[in-house]
Amino acid sequence: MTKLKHFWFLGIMLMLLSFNINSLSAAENVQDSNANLVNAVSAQQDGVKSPGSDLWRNVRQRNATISGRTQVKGAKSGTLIDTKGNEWRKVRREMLVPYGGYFLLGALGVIALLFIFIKRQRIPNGKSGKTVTRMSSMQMITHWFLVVIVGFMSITGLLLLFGRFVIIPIMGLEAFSPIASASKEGHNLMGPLLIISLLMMLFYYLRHNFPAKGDLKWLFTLGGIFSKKHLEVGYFNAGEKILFWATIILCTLLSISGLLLLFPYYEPTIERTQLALLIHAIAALAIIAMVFGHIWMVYTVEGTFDAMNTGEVDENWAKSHHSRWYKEKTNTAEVEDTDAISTSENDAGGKPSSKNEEGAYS
Amino acid sequence: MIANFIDGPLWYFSLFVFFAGVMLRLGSIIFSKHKVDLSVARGPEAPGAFRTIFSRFLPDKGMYPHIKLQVIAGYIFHLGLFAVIFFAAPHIKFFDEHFLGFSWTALPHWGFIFAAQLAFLGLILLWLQRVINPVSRLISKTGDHISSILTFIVLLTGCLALLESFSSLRLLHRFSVELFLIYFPFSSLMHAFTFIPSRAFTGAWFGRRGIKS
Amino acid sequence: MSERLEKGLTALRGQMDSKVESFFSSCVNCGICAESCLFYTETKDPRYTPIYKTEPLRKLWKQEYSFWGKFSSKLGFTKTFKESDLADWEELVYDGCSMCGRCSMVCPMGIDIADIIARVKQGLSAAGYTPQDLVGAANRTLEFGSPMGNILPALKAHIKHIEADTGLTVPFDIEGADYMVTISANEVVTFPEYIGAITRIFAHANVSWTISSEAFEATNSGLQMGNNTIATELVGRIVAAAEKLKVKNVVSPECGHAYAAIRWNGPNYLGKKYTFGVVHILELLDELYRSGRIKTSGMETSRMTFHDPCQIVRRGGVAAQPRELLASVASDVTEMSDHGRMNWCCGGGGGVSANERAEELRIQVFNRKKSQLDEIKVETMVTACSNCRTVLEDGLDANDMDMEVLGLTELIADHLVENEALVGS
Repeated sequence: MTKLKHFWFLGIMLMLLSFNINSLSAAENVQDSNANLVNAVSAQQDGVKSPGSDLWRNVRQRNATISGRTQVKGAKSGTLIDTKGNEWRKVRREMLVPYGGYFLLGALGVIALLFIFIKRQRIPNGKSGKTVTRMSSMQMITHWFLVVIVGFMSITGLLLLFGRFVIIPIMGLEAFSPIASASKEGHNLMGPLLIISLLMMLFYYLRHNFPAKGDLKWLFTLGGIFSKKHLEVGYFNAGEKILFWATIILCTLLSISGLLLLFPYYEPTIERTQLALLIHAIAALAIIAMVFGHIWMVYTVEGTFDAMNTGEVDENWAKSHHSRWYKEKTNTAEVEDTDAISTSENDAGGKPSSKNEEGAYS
Repeated sequence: MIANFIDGPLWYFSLFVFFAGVMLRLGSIIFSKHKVDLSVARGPEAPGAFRTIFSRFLPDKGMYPHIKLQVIAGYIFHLGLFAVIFFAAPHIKFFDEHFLGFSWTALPHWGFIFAAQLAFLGLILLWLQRVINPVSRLISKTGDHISSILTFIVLLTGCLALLESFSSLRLLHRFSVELFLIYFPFSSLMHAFTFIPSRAFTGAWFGRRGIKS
Repeated sequence: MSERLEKGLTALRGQMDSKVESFFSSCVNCGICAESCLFYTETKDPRYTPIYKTEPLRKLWKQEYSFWGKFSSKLGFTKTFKESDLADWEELVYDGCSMCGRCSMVCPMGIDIADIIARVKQGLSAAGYTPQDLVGAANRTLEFGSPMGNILPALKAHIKHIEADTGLTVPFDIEGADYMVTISANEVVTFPEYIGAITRIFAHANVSWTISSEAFEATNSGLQMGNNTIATELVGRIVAAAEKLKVKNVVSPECGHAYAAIRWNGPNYLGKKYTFGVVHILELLDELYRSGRIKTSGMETSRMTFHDPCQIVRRGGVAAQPRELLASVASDVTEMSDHGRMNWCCGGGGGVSANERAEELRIQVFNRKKSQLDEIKVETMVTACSNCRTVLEDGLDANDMDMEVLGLTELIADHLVENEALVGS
């Protein structure tokens, strides 16, 4: 019976609280109410015993989840306080945030070291001035669309995960709350567009990303990073294929877990919501670290960026990094086309020397 | 201080620039020299003009496969933007209180979210196509990029302020809208109005020659 | 600022009106027009984007007429208009545009891009940035009456032949005739059978017609090079002749831009309404056919298609008539994928075919027509413009395509009933 009494009390509390929230959102004097809250918090810290805390302790009954009965129909309406929430809070604060942060900083550090110590690889024999079409407009648009979405989601997501520990010390509480709110609304709104960019990615890139002859060899030699041997590579090399599939898998995980988080009321248990949250965070950190690596790879191999800038790559670049694709491309090209003829002549002439080229990363 | 400025003088200034600018530019179309065609007309001009104003909403069948992206993304963007501007609950409330004195049914919250997503999707794709396609890359001016980015910022700040709980976010949205309104009459954003006289002129020209356009 | 630039700018300023204002105000640089232009689709060179060809006028509009331009020039921010802003566009506008007006049909903002390009030509020609060949053609027309020199003797010689072959007379300078026929120089020099064809048809249909020995040349180099003064002078000759002979109508030849010059632009050049009507030869033939004055017999059985001349169909509005006429004499007509008002140009309109410098480009963009023809696999192509005909034949030759190109008027003449009886009488 005592429990029932608590329910009454809680109901009144919740009503009061909801009125308070309503008035908060309606009125524009947010600052005043913020001040009140700050006052209340500081009063508690001054050692004044809150009479409510005993009540909460009783309701919670330590760590045992107890169920009562209620008129309200709902999956969790019988549970007054679910201690799993607090466990998740601990995981988030003590595991996810610090280790996630170290992971990202570490990734940044590795990339920085790579930027500093690995020499940028020039196009063998320099730029020829002639180009081959590598990417269609739609392929480029798809890629950059994914970049915009992933970029926006990363910024807002990182603000939500780490913002409390970075923004508050720098800019203060008053600045963080609108930033957090904005990040949350923006993250939720833009999220579904990731699914669209994922579908576009599959539509425009899938056919180039099936395993092919020479992929394993590429992997074993790490793209010929240490050998001077020339590797035969098709449209994409094994590294790019791994990047593609990792992106697809991670984005799928992010999309599914994200949708579960967007609609938590359709999710029956809190465990699954927490699992979704954990997967979401880890996948996000992984994809961000991968993007760092991707940026470095593009930077370090001269001429690669052209593929996503104009869609046209230099012939010498194509010959050394994607020789099989280049051959297929020039052989199937229109025979009447004078350009194609002249390039194949160049190709024949350039063949003997190509063995001496540095074939790194092909 | 800044809040008062954004809500007060800057708001009225931007409204003034917007309305005066649009009037001036439409006026300069209506009142500038208009040549009279002395040739004998084969058909009437007015129906042709009227027809073309609407016919150009749809692309030519043979052209469509080549301009799919512009058409689809264009429609997605403009419809989404239209819905967001005129059917978002806070906007209707704002129009009601400050301009019109009446209101209409707003989109539900999920409807608004969906419309905003459409607008974002279309806008981002259109802008990427502008940057990537060699044709639009060549012919685009700085103004076109500014227009796209301003529209994006207005949409974005609006969506960031979705919770409607922080005056700072609301002010940010309002400030970006003010910039947008001020920039509007100086830029090709004017096409929102001028497409009508432009299509009408061409439609009349073709109507005179008895050609469907 | 050099004198020629000043001249060009003055001419461009004279082109500003409400249309230009609304067109430039609404362009959002979407680039859709590029896909409608055969010079872009066949070269993939973005500079051939139609709206990019209007850049000289657009730049001037932006600086001197737009809100922003006026505002920033007050502050001293405007870039000065350089001579290269005109010079660099000569090749784009004269070699890379056939004035076909397909772009005007697809612009989502409804911009009549071809109309603006015509205005740009005014500025370029005033500044002297016009291909030599066009200037030469215009000078020859002014001096000798035709872009190919004095062709009256050639015309008279052909007519002598025709009269001998058919026993008919070609009426010259008859006052009060119903129709005064004009001819394009190309028809006299390359396709003289056209003159024989109309002679037979008019005799068959008992039409009162005449040719003026003072003004039979209908082509207008002034229109092609974008010089209104020359264009006015050339149209003025025909109008003067028609008024002198007191004819009821002037018949434009098959040639596309001649029709545009006489029918649509002429009254505006001269600043007065005509006292006579202007009809295109196909309009006249169709009218005669409908009223039963032309009776045809027999059908062509080869697989045929009709190439729409841009200035006659898309920009002239004569689209139904050629199809009706062709259907009356041919049983197997297949339309190309884009036809009628959305047809693809042969690539030689707007003075491009008269401009030798542009020949390579013209042959290249003919690929558009080639792929259209490859799709439908026809044996014969019928058209109604002597310029299109020359360009099409050139293109077919360059691509080793075996296809016959016929003029519609000649085709009708070949199928006239009682042809033999007339010859006998």
